[in-house]
Amino acid sequence: MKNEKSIRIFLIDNHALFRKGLKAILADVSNFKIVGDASSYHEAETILQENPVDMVLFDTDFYIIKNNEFSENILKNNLTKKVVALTFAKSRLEFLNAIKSGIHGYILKDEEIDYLIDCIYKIHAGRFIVSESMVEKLVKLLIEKSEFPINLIISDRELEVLSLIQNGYSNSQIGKHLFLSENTIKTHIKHIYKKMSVSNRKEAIEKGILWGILK
Amino acid sequence: MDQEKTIVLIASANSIFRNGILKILSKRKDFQNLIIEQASDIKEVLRKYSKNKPRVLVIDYDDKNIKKKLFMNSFLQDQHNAQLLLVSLEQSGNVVFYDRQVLSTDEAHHWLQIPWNENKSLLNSE
Repeated sequence: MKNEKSIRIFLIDNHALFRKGLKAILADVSNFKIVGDASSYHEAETILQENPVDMVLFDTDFYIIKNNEFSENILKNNLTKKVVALTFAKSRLEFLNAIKSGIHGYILKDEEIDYLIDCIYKIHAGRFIVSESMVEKLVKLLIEKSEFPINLIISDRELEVLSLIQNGYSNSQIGKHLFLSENTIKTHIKHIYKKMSVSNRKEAIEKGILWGILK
Repeated sequence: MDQEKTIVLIASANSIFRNGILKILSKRKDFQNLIIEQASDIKEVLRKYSKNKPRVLVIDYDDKNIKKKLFMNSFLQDQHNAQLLLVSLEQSGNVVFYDRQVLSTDEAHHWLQIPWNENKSLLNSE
């Protein structure tokens, strides 16, 4: 029987069949109460404002910065106590963005259902859980974070360029935005890559977030 | 006499998805007449498909373990009457439903005359 100590859970996933199936599975677990489910953040936020929960399990595209803001917002506004990513995303950037947004767990969708249930209990009890295959990535990220090269600080202008790269601007768009030529932007980017020891935009954004110079 | 059981094969490497579909099916009124089989790779799919002749297949077709081309070749070559639900876990868009019905000439004539949206599928019981 479900009692007042039930873990109140809300599911967000735009894949209806997966969401409905997961909802049906978790609803049968003792001490779990599935308060609701939604296919989008907007829909979820409206429901959660009326009915805060203990845990939100959500799938997201963490490449989109706005999605990180969602987990920050629902935690800040006390709409949930815990936020857990339940996702197929295995890339470093998505993982890093999720961690930065303050989530309490990062569980891959291809885990076994018993593992997921166990994780929910542990996260509810206060632990931070990451799927085993993501642990190596987490350790690498921590090592890289400790390698922050303070003697090669990025200039204000370079940081401005890097922020615009993060927002999806092309070189010519950055040039127009900063009233600089495209060639000047290319030179800035070359310097950024050299200072950060990266070879492309994605890696630069990743490291920028890791070092705390990008949001 | 016992009603003939309907075999359903759910194929995906994803355990949560397979068990989720199973839970959804378990809420059907005729669940006791269903035999649910699960498969997590193409070898298991092909073996259970040819051996058990499922009436309904739910296939996670973007799953690399399922190898959709291999499965579809086998499905299209096979003549047994089965309904196929193709679902992609990588995309949240439409689900493809393929209903290979065997009809008599009269049934085919009737089928050509009735509005097609009145055709009921096995999974559409609610």
